[in-house]
Amino acid sequence: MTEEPHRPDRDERAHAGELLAELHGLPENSARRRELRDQLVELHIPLVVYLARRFSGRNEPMSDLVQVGAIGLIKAIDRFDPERKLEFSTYATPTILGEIKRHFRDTGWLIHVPRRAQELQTTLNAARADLSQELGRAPTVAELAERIDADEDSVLEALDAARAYSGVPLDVLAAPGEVVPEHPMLGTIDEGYEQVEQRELLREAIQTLPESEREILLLRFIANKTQTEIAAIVGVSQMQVSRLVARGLKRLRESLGAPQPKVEPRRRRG
Amino acid sequence: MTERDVVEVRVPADVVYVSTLRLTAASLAARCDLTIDEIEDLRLAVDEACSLLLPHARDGSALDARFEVEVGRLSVEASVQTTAAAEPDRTGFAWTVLGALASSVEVRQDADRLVICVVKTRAAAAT
Repeated sequence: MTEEPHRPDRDERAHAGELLAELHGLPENSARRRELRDQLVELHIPLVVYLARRFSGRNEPMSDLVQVGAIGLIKAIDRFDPERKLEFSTYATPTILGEIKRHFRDTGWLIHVPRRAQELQTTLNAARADLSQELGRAPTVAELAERIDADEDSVLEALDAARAYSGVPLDVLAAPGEVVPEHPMLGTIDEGYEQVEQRELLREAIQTLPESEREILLLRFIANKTQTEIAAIVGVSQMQVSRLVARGLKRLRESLGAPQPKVEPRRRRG
Repeated sequence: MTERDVVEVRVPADVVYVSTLRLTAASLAARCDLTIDEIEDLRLAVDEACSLLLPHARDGSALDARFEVEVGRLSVEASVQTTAAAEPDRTGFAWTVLGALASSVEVRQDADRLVICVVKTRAAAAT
């Protein structure tokens, strides 16, 4: 990808091994320890830079990332056990990354992707509006990323988060192995309040319907019966039920002053 | 999700598409119930695996990724078509980082494809 920081070659690695062995043979308070540690840090700083660069798209100054990464490196140097036949850089990598991740976590953003995406939201929305105005079309992810000084992945994440706001069913998040219910658990604005009003209006409207239509609508939408089931209960054909449902709904809409849909939405037949 | 779902993604063997695989990996890792830190590790590991493969890819060929998704484990098998038997560079940081971040790494040559298989498993206890 990008040019790589120089990785210690075989000689340097052997040298690092010797330094580590000497360091860990010394008593805690030895002055030589510090000297050795400095040399080891210097030798492995390129690894820290390499790892820090992996996070460079994320709005944190590189120098900060290298600095926290170096803390990880020092921890790794102190904790390394030369007895174990493990290459030091392999041992140090997770420790360095751990420190960088902790930094993001402590400074309160990123890694925690949804939160960060949320924070990007406001900036992103403003940038989107501005760019749309300037370009006369919707901006691309790359353009957005450049404008808000973030990398493209973050922008995509934030856009995903935005989409989530407009209602992704919760069952998408169901744990693996869990049975996903057929109907979305959530994903719409709670219509309960409006429904209270509508139900009141509806109650009155329903009273005005002819008996047969009223019964069929109740069976259809309150008892949730299929048209076929209703047909059996009432003793008419399914076609007849279908017609009565349509007529009843039409009458209700008229009395409530609601617009008529072109086609009657139909559920799966039973 | 069944016991083990398989997702395959094919992109041009070009560095600009690596982010597609990275995002796919992250999204699938979330399904596997890996921790946020593990997902982050996997993202980086996929990055490294791709950067080890791409120099060997034949011009105009594809970078294939096959993900095996199961609870607590995601395996990513990335491969490119090569002109001759090839080996990823094991002297650079990319290799070190890959090895350090993945739960296991396996390299193999399948006919004319160089394959790097990266597995990330959910750690038993918090680290």
